[in-house]
Amino acid sequence: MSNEKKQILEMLSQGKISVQEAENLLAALGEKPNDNGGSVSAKEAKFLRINVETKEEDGDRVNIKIPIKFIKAGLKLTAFIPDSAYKHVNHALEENGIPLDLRNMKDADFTDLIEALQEMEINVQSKEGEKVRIFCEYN
Amino acid sequence: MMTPPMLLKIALAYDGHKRLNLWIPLLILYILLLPFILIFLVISILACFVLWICGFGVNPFKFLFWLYDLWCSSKGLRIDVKSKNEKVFILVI
Repeated sequence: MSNEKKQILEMLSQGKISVQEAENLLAALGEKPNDNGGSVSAKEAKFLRINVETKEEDGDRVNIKIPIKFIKAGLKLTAFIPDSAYKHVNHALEENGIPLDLRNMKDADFTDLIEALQEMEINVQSKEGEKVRIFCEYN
Repeated sequence: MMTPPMLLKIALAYDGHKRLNLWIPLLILYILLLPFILIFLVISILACFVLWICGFGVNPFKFLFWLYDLWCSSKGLRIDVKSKNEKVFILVI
């Protein structure tokens, strides 16, 4: 069960929200609006796709497909980063405007991060016709 | 149950015409490497035991499991990078 669902059920048991409100909130969690304004059932993305294309047919091309499970497994391994390395990583992150202490990241944070990643889509197109697209694939 | 990848495709092209195309059946590779994997496992278990006695903070068994998890979850990974004269293609199935 996701954290959001737990929170809604806890709020319901504490009487902070009515049954109808809880039902609406749970329905909102289960269905996410798509680009066309309609709604699709929430499902887990399977791959993170990174596409880079140029206008020329024989130009540079990047097409990367990373399983989300692979990213999750990789994030778990951060637990084994030694303290001395954490200092360098945190310092580099801070230098680049991300004041984040990786040691404080927990499994739940990583899960939230992955969930947020699934809703992300980056589309960049230059005047020269170069295209960069980063998105999640569901099948 | 987590199953490791069974097939690996590596395709490289450089200098425009030199090509390398490899389909690697990992199942055969696993069988060939089995004796070494078993030796590695015995050594790892001993190392884990010694580290546990020494009070090493991280559970090394977990590390081995997560490493295996990482390898298993790499199924479906595809890297395809192409420029005018070079090409790198890696596919894990």
